[in-house]
Amino acid sequence: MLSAQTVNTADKLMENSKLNAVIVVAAIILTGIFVFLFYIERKIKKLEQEVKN
Amino acid sequence: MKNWWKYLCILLLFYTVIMGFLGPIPELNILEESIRNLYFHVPMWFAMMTLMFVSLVYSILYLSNQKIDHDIRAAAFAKVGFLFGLLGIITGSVWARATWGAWWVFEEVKLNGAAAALLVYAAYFILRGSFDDEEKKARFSAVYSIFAFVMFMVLINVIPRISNSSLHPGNGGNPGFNSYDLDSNLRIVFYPAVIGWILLSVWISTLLIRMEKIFRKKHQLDIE
Repeated sequence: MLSAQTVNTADKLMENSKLNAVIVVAAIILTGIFVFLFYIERKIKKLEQEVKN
Repeated sequence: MKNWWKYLCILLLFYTVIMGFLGPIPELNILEESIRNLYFHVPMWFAMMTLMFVSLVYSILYLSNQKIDHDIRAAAFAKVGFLFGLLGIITGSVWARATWGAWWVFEEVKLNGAAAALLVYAAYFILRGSFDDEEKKARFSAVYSIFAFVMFMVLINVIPRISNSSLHPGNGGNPGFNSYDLDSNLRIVFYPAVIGWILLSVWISTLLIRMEKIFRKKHQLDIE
């Protein structure tokens, strides 16, 4: 059941005195930062190609 | 592949964040769970020290062969180093509020040193901004950069260690974080964390450098 699945994830997040929630949050933030960095990388590479031609 | 170190950075920082919160820590009075800040606040300063040193190297290289590329790198590494110093001092303040009871302690020699070091580098950027001529800018800031780094080391590494009264770990008779990281539980996260954060700071610096070089090339092409 879909509701059983959501309850499972929520339960996991609430384990460990809810510290798991903090870890997931921090991991999300970290992921966001890296996604942003790679985005900038691609933009710069594109510009570098442009300038070379 | 030539970006291997970026993937290593990502790996190390995820490890830091996850193990940083989940990993075991020693039972310490006053610090309690906040000892985990060791993996975040302290590496900010290691990153700044690394970057400022690299900036110094490029400054000296510029002085010896006048390649503007070296000045671009020196400035970029200093910029990001300054950013990490700002992060270090802000995170330190948060940690201080939780453990010493105050956001800032004016008598604290390490804090004064850190603030003064940031001012020294702020002056470096102001100095750069005051020049129109690129070659003069590069030359003067390269020379200043040498004084800046020496002062930086003295302000945060030498003077605090001489002082005999301090709250900060490692100064004024307090056990250095060396005795914290003697705890192997802390060490297995701390060392990867330092490397990870340094790699991140270098990554951001290289992006700044590439951006600066493209802006310059584009500018030249537009003029033609």
